[in-house]
Amino acid sequence: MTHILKIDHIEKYYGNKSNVTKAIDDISFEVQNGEFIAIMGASGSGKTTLLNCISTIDTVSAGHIFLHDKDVTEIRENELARFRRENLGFVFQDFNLLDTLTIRENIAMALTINKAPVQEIDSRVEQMAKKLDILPILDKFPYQVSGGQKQRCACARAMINKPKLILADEPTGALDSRSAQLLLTTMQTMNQELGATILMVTHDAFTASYAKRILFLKDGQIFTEIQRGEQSRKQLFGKILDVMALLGGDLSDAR
Amino acid sequence: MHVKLALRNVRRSAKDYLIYVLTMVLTVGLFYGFLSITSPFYNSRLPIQMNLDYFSSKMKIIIPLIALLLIFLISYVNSYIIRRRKKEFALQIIMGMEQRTVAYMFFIEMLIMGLIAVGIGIVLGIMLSQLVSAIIMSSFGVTYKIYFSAYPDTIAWTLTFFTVLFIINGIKNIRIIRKQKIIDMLHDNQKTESTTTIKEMILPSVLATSVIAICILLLCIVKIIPFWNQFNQKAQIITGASIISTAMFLLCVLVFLFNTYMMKREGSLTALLLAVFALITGIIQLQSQGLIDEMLRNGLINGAFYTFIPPILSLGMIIFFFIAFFCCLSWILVLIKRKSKNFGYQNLFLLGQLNSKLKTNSKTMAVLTCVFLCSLVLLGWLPTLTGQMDGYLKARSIYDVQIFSAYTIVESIDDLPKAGLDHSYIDNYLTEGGYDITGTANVETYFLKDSDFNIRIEKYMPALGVSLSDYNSLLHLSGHKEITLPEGSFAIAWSDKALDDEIDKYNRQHTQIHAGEYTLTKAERADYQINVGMGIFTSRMKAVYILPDSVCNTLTLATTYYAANTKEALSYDFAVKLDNDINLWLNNTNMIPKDSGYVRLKTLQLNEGISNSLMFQLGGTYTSLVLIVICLTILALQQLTDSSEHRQRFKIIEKLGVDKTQISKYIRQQMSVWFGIPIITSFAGAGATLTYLICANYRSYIPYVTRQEVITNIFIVYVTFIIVFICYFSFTYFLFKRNINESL
Repeated sequence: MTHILKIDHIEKYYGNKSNVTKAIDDISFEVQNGEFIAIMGASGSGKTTLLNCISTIDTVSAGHIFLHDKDVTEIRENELARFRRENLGFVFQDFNLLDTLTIRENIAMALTINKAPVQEIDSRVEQMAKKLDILPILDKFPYQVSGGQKQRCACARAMINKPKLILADEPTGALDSRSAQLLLTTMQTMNQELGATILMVTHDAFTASYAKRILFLKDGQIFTEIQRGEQSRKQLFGKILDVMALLGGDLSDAR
Repeated sequence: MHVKLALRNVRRSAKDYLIYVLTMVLTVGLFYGFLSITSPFYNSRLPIQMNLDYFSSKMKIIIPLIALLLIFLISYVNSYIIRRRKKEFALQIIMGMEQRTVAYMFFIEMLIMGLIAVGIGIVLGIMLSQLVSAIIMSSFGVTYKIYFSAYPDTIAWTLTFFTVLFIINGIKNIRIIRKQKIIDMLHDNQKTESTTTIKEMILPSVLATSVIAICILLLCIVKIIPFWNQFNQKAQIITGASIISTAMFLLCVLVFLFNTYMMKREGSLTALLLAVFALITGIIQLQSQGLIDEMLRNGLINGAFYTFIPPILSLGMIIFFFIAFFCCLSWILVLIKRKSKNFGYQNLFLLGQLNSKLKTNSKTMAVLTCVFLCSLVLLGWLPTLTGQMDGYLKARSIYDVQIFSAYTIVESIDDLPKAGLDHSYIDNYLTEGGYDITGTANVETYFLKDSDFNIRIEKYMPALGVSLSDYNSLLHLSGHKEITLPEGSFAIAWSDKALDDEIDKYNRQHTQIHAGEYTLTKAERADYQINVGMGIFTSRMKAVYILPDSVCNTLTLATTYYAANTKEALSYDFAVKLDNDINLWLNNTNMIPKDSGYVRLKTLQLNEGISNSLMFQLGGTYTSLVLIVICLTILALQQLTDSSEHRQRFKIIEKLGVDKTQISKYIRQQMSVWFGIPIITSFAGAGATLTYLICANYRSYIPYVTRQEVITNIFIVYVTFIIVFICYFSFTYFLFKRNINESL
């Protein structure tokens, strides 16, 4: 397996000379093609900053990020938008669907931004919708469907362009436990059947337990890493809780 | 403390209020500029023969009345600002500030903002009043001098008026804020736009318009159909078309109601049909005004108010057209999206943006379009109308003193005056008042045959006769060369309202006339369209026969006309007194039948005529300017409300990888549609209306204003409007981008 994302000694500082906060303090890791990786940590551990740096929304203070051997930190400002739409797919905590468009149009929007041929759009959207089980609600507006459905729609939107990497920022944060479970199963399907590479940021142990590999961040550094290997999800969940206890994290975070 | 906080708020949100302040400054400026001319301070500066009391008294009512429309604007703006600031209010309340205090602070803030705007507006108004004054001076033919127009009474008036407006609105705001629940204030932003159906949007308008349609049908059936046989083909076609289209409209209403209530369908297609039929009915209704006019002239119906009925009905139909049109636009967009995948997918975001707004804003857009249209038509047509009024004024106020009698209100032919007017009383009066008479003319007009006296239907009014020597004395008095007439022939004096084709047509029919026992033939090229005053054209005919003196001596006298010129213009006060005294004297001497005499003094005519034309010109300009400013502000604000409400959407597409140039393009496209549609629709509508006015009123304005001038005037208005519009558009675009970028 080849690596798709390589984080190389990145650092990120906030503030001015007299008062510097290190949000990320020398982090390095690699993500292999087809991996489902979760990044865990308490609030303030730097996980969102890390995600923002990878997604080119924020810049790093030092170090390099390679996506398929292309240095993300060296991309010029006016090419960033293009880079994002061609290589990355996003799933946000608050869905970020356009309330003016139907679910179908929301998914199609990602295709049209990438200038996909118009005649392909409908079939591609429906194909994707079928896989994520949102075919019946395609012509509804976001406010007419449930949160879980919205998030699955967001997943479809993120997947439709076959991006190299899908970045998910607390995807279950706004969902109830049942919807969260459904969504995570969906994401597992995306990963296993559609071969999507997913990088997910979460502070929730249950959510993280669906991933194949879990990185723990603490104070801007990688604290430890767990591989699922041949373990069942339940076993992994237990392990995560152990690490969290070790981290001094609050067990009430886990469901 | 709270005032201090409010002041800081003002400073912080000054940019948000930019458009509001700008609009207030403009409207206050207009208000002050126009109101300043009604100030007694201004009147005292005028020359002696000018008196603007009449004009002032009217303008004093018109200006504040129009300015009352600002209530809508202010409350619209306030609700926009409240919506923007709701979250902030909620936070203040959660932190423990009393709801009353928050509302009170907002009130103070808006008041400060408003008073600043009023202050700047007054300065602008002082400058503007110079311009208004220049117009007035040039109307009276007096050279314009720059002056300082900060009149205390006008300033007090302006301040009071606007402060009261602000306070009324402030009280309303306080009520709104106090009634809100905190939870609603916090979460109001997250509410998605409600999806109303076409039925909900236009049902009230449909019902109201149905009433109008029924009125049209009633008008046709009761007042027009009974005279069907007397109409020419054109009139029959108009009436027929009017009935058919109105009936079709009503049929569509029924289908619409059936579709939406019984079948539970959306009814968009029927709504579109409704719009189309409403437009057609409206246009036909405008056409039928001519028919009603003709019927009034022929005496088929009575009551001058009938002239106003078709335009009012038509206006109702056209307003409905716009409302329905904008409601249907949403549906048309959906249809386009469905029919053309290509177009739909390429403009997904734009279409979504438009669609979400069409649902909520189509009514506002329709009203704005109508107001734009009316303002444009008003502004474009006013110069022509006042040109026409001024031209006519010049024609009728040619002599300093004119007295004439009319025969149309006399009931018996025996009551008519027996001889010309004995004018020694007036001559003495003038000399005693210190005015030297430079010339007089005493003219009589005659019936060609006695039976003419009984014709009272306007269309068949007879042409009267005037003797050659009388006509010559008028020519002499007005400074023209005298004419001669061959033996046994007659000439025709034409009023300046008569057009060439009318003269030709009349001459072909009247080569020979019978005057009493004489038969006269038309002399060669004997048509005189010289301005000798309106006194000889009292029977509403545009022609008067010029007859040999010997013939006139045998005819029955119809009217008398006396005209005199004085060396100096009469002063206004003297003229008022003279007018009163002559009227008294006329009714007491039995020279002419009671109440059939009219006195026209140049000074009074000019004052009244110019006042009227000024009132139209200034009042109309003021009204349309205020309306345009209000509309443009609402348009701009609508965009800005959106930019903050929909900031989220732009943020999302930015995250999805849409670059900045594309986002700017989206903003421009979206704004072009929202600004463009009302503007283009109203431009086209105003263009059509003005073209109609140019054609329909051709006969009434062409003697005084050339077609070239009319078109130039309209052109100037259009260009000015486009410039103002572009200013607002770029301003809004700038603010919109600023709002969007705040979060990106």
